[in-house]
Amino acid sequence: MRLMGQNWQKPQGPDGWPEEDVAWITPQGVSARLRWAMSVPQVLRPDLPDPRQFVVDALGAQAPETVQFVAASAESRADAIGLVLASPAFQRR
Amino acid sequence: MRHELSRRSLLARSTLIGCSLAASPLLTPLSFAAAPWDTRLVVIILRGGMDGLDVVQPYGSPEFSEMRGALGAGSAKGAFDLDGFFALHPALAPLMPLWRQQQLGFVHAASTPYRNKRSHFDGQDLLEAGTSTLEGARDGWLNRMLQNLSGVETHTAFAIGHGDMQVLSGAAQVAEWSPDSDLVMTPQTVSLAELVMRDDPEFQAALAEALLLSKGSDEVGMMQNRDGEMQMSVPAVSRGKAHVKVAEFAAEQLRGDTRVASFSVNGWDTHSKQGRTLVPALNRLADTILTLQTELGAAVWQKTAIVAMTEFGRTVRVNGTGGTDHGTGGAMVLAGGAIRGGRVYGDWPGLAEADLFDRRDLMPTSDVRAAAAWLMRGLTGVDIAALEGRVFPGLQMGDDPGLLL
Repeated sequence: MRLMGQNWQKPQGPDGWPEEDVAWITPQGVSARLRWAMSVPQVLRPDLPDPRQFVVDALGAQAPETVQFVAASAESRADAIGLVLASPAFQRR
Repeated sequence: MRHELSRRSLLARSTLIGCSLAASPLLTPLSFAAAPWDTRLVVIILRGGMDGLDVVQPYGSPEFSEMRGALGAGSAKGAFDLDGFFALHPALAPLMPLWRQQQLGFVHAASTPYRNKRSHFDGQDLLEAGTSTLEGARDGWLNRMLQNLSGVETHTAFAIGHGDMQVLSGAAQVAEWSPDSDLVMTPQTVSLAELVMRDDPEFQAALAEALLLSKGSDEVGMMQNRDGEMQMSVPAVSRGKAHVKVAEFAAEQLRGDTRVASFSVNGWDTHSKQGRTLVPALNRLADTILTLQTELGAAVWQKTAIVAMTEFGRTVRVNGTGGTDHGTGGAMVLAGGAIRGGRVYGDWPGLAEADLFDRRDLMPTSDVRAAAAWLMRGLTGVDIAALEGRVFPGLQMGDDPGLLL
């Protein structure tokens, strides 16, 4: 969680975790989110959903075209789910 | 079905194993009844669509170099001649000693029944389900083989990896294990991540910098830090070695009572710059096979058959970005002391335009399920009626190709 920019139960000040882009959209943050998103869901739920349906469930029918394309064309289900979860469209929701 | 340890059996074992139980990641059992067969079968799923034409290059075909451009150089680009017609990709050089000992072979122009849709997920589902269509059965064909054999215990078969081995899922008991670290992002996944970040300048910049920090390899190495968090290894530390751990673990189990192991080797989706992007996946495949050979030891290796199969092959022609796209006919890789290697199996369909599937893909001349069925038949004695009726429903196995010694 610290790598992703919000240290678990330890905000830096009484105003909570900073929400400005620079505070959490960092190289370490993006890579940590990407890795988490690609590795953890399949451990929690081995029968991953079809990524082509998941992108619609997660982001609605208006999901950005690039996210829909990536969800349909990744090499494996785990990679596809991870790319949807790590996408700016999902992360900024 | 995952084997659940009951509280009672856990307590009973704890008394015997004592303190060491806490340190064991596996709750290793004291003993298991051995399955009634003694051979070993390793099934490797190559996710992403391996380009059989680049791995086992038909350089003797007059159309090959013309259609493949720089990719199709055959022995001129360092590929190893196999039999005067086919040559092996240079990155598989470490496997040439196995070829010469006739412990490495291939089935060319083979495919699943999957046609024309070109989706990785559907292609992998069909490959692992072993059915003719995606309707119906959701369990995997390796599991159904176990269901048709007697004496199967929990550790007779091992699914290795992160719960993605549908080929082994189903009603028969199967043990599972996954390595704890060192995941890699394949070249294609990196380029898709770049694509998905492209419309958001902050994300794009952050990813670009993260990738720059891990530069120096074609793959982004990841490691787990002390807090258990995933992070990019900067610089990449022991990157990409998860596959070696997987192979070591598989070998350790197969030296004991385990008879079947299955896991994935990913990274075959080479849409661009294939001359470079295919190499890491080939390195992993070679490492995996050689690690199995070393760790199994000579005696077990002699009764081991490894088969690596992919969801589809790739287009015969090279695309505009120096890669290949999703195709149809592909190649299977066979290795092990039990394999009658040193030859390329399969009827070669030719590469003239009229010989291609849809005028773009290698024409499949055999079903990957038939080769897998003959391997299972020879290794475990499972009968042909069960293979054609239940393991691969509706499959015609045809004549025995003699893949095993």
